[in-house]
Parts: sequence; C-alpha cells; structure tokens
Amino acid sequence: MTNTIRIPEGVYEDLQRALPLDVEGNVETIALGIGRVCTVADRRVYVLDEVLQIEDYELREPARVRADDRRLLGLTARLRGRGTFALLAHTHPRGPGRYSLADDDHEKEVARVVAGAADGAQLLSMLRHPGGWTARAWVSGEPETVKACWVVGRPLRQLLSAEAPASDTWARQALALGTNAVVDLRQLRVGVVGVGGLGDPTAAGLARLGVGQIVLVDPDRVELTNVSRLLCVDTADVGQFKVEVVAARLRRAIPSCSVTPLAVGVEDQRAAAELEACDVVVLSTDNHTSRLVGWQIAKRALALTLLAGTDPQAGARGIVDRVSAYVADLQPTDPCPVCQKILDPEHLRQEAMPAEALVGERRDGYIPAVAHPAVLPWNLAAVAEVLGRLLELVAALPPAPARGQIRRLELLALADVRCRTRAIFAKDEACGCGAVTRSELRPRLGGR
Amino acid sequence: MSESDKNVLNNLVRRLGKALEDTCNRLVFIDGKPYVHPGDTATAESILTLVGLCPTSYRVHIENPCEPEEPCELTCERVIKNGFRFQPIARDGNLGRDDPGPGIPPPLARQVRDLEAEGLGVEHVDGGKHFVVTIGPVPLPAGLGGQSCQVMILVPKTFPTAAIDMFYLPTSVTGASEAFKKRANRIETHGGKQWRRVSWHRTTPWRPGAETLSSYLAFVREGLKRIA
Repeated sequence: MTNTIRIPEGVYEDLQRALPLDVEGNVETIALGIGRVCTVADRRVYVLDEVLQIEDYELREPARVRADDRRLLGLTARLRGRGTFALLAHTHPRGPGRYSLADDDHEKEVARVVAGAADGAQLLSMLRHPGGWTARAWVSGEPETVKACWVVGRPLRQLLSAEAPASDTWARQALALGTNAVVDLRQLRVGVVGVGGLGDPTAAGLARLGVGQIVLVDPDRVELTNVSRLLCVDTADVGQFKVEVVAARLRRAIPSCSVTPLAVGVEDQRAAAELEACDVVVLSTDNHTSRLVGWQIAKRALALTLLAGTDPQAGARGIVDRVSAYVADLQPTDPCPVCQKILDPEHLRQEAMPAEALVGERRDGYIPAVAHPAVLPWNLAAVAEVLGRLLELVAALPPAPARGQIRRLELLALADVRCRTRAIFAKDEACGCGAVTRSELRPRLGGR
Repeated sequence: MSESDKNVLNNLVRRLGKALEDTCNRLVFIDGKPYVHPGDTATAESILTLVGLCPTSYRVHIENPCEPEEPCELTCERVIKNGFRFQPIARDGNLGRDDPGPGIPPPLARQVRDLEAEGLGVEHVDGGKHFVVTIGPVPLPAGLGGQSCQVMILVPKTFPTAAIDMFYLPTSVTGASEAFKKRANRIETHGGKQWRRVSWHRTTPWRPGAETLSSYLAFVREGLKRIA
C-alpha cells in the first residue's frame, strides 16, 4: 500500500505556523489536524482539511511533547469513522529527522484512541525538523511509511524527499529540470479523462516525462478516424477500448510507469474513486458534462485540474478559418469553470437533452449543427501546453508568466502561433456560484 | 472497539464530565461522539451548530437514555442532561416521507421541496442524462382552454450548473393565438408521455448559483401569458 498526503496551500501555511522550529530552548511543538482518506487499490491518500487552533491548550516540554487529553477528545469527537483521519504533527527543532522511541509510544496510544473513538478512523503523523518533513500513517496499530506529501498550490510542492531513480531514462531531463523534479514527477499520480486526440498524446507525454502513475478514463473504443490523431493506436486496434490499447503501449514504452485503464465514463463510481486518488486530473474530453464532473471530483479531492481543449471555427464556406487551443490549471480553491467562461451552462443543457428534443432544436435553428474538425498539430500544440504547464507547476520552471491564467493559442498558422493569455480566478458575480473558500471545501466532519 | 480502547475513551469522557459538573454546560453525544453543549437547553439548531451541520439540510432526533421511549424529533427547545444522545438525519437522505426519492441530486431535491412547500405537486422521472420533472397544477391564463395544467421541464442532471430551456404542456392544452401556433406546434414524447413543447427561451445568461426551479417556474408563467 502506498501512502500519500495532500495538503492545500492555505492549510500548509497554518501547519507551518503551528509548528515553528525557532522556539527558544529547543522546545518541541505539537499540532493536531483533521482530514479524509481516499483508498483506491494500492494507494491511500490523506487529504488534510484543517489544522486545529492550538494556543489555548498547547503543551510544550523540552525535548518531549504529548497531545493534551482534552484536545484529543475534541479531535476524536469530530472524526466520522472510516474514511477520516486525525493528524498528530510535532517538531524536532534541532533534529533528528526521525521518530524517537517516546514518539513511537505516544503515537501508538493516540492511534488506538483515534481508532476506538471513531470506528476505523486513522492517525497520520508528521514530523517537522530542520531537514524538512517526515511522515507516517498508523494503520491497524502499526506505522506505515508515507512516500509523498504534496502541497497543492502554485507550484505543486513535494515535502518529502525520495531517492532519485537509478534509470538513465530521465538523465537528459534531469539535466534540464534538476533531479528533484524528476523524483517529484515519479511520485505523481495523474488522471487523464478522455483518451482521444488530446488525451492520448498527453498520456504518452506524461509517461515519458516520468510520471509514476497514470489513470486513463474513457468509455470509447478505437475508431478508424482516431488513427490520424492518436499516437498510441494502430489501425489493427480498431474496436478495442482506447484505454486498454493506450495502457498497453505506455507499459511497453516505460515499464516503470503504472497505468490503470478504466473503460468507463467519468460519471462512473470507479472512475470517481480512482480520480480522487490522483494528484493532478487532466480533463481532455470533447464535452462539457464530463469536464464539469471531472472538475467536481478533483475539487472534492483537493487535486489540481488541467483543462484543455481546441476550438476550431468554420468560416462562411464551411472551411475552418480559425482555431484556438486553450489550457487552464484550476486549483480547488479557484472559482467555478462557469465563472471563468471555460464551461457553458447552455452546452451542458444540450448535452443532457434527449435525442428527440435535440433534433427539434437543431431543425428550428436553436442549436447549430457543428462538425468537430481535428488535425494532429492542433492537438499537439495544446498537449505541449498541458505538459509545459505541469512542469511549471511541479518543477517550478522559471519563468512561468502564464501561471494562474488561461492561455489561448491561435493555431491555424502554426509557424506563427500567437499566444493570448487572460487572467482568471476573478469571480464572475453574474454566475452566482458564490465564492469558493477553504471552509466550503472542508467536509462536514462536525465540530467548529 | 476493544475493551481497552473503550476504557481509554470512557476515561477521557469521565474526566471531562467531571469538569462540567459545576457549570450549566452538558456533555452530550451527537452521532455517537461526545460534545460539550453550551447551556442546559438544546434546540435542533444548537445541536447541529455543534457538529457544523446546516439546519436546513438536517433534522435532529433525540434519545433520552433514562426514559425508554422511541427517539423523537427535536422540534423545540428542550432541557437536556449529561449523556443525552442526538442523531442528525440528512433531509436529503432516504429517510422519512418527505424524501423526494433516491437518485436525485441534493440541489434538485432541495428545490423540489421548496416547490412542494408552495403547494405544488412535483414528480420526476429519470431520463438518463436528465430528469423529466412535472410540476402542477399551474394556473393557465385565459385563452389556453383550461383553468390549470401540469407543466413539464427537462432538467439536466448537472443542473444548476447546466441551464434549463423551454417547457412542455399536456397535448390537451390548445390555443388559438398566432403566438401559440408558432411556439407550441411540436409534440414530443418524454417519460413515456406525449407533451406539447413551448419554444420559450431566456434572453439573459444562465446563472448557476442563482437559478432555481421556482425562478424558472416564474419564467414559465410569463411564457404562458405570451402564448395565450
């Protein structure tokens, strides 16, 4: 079982404030928190929702720190059993960067109280020290290693150090991005929703960048028209599920990359569960409904969303005379995609309508009959932008002028790509969706 | 929970209960978890506030361990003692007679309840990616051959982010006006029943956070006046 922690940027700031390393006299400090656990197959993701305020009953002792009983009771009262966890974090201001025997005893006791107070709830432990962070999860009374801890924000930061892969596959990439970025990409689990003209080359690119785990979600089978744009499919694959074909190609190309194919729509429960365990979700489908559902899943799981699409527009004679590709990275705390003019309520309605109603509306001219032209280079331009944006976020590549913006590329004359950016994340009051705040993202675990 | 775990927890509860003896606060259990309730009288709102749940989405059942009565709903202010147990119950859950039924998304379920509170009957049939929602009786303006009728709207499952457009009337509703002939000339089958589609569209953008079934029904009433 692989254990990963995901912390929104604002909550991480709270955690850092609660655990200072510069307290006089080498005094250890303690903090408690609360969150949700998503468990999928061999992966357990701890999403930290809140760090509790500690001033009134904080207990500090030189070289040793224990959670106050009253505070612990308050914390366990807010747990909702299986699927939730309590965080017990403390500091070693001057090191070492590993747990002491006293820590082991104390955490074992707290883990028992937590599991007993809220049936099946778990204890997550984090240790801050001058060298960074160490973490472990208490499962069934025993400590388990935590391999990755992502701070979800701009950039996407990895708190735990891991060993660099021995493989030469990413040697050139390490020269460009640094070894840390290669290691961080290895820890990343990315979901790709829609394995078509955009999703297929994106998945291929992710595997080759060294992303450790990829989840592919698409219910469609390969059609002959796909072969002109999907890099991982051949004519012989027509009739097979796209995700199965692409997964097989990626495993052959990069055996160390774990690929999970799901031949279902994003609305399916299995897809939702797998995507909740992803750190980044790429939405590359051709319809607004799946993008909305995918974004809602990512937002709930506090994952980063990369949304991409191409937008060809036909001129008077029916020939495409203008194409633009757009890519946006959406944080869980950003306003909704309707505010940002990425998703259209009217498109969503049309996609939900029964065929008979649509035929009538088309005939009456309410819905224009739009063909969806597609050419490989248009898609590849958008894919390059998606992968570039991921590297900006994970490897913090300087400069990143478009971070926090929707980037729109004018593509028809590829030799003269014009890039327009539009600042986003300003809420559109007309949308009425309400400001998205951290407190709204918190599950209703109870307490205050 | 093992015996030793129970002991550890009971110890913690006992220590806190003792500390509360001299105050008017009460140690209560909400959803099986201990909480300190400020004061010795409770309302559903005060209980839900303790656990951070919204009173419009939850109701509360109270269980007094000293009296062998069935748990009942906490509807008014009540004196409580240490050890009282409370159970929040989601209004959207499949419990109780006012539950609109399984499979309907919570935002839509809430709005169905709002319409029912206005005295309207609401039925819904799952159409795959949408719901066929029938609301009525809606009064008909003069000129449409009746006093009132059911109105049907197709509501996407991604509502309210997705928009609603047009509305449908029973085929028995007829009108002689030019507007009726132009806008209501198409018959479609939805939810196993034939409906007359009324081509009536918004001229303002859809606002996902502000639009409701009630506000859409006002828009439908305006459309009925136009075709009468």
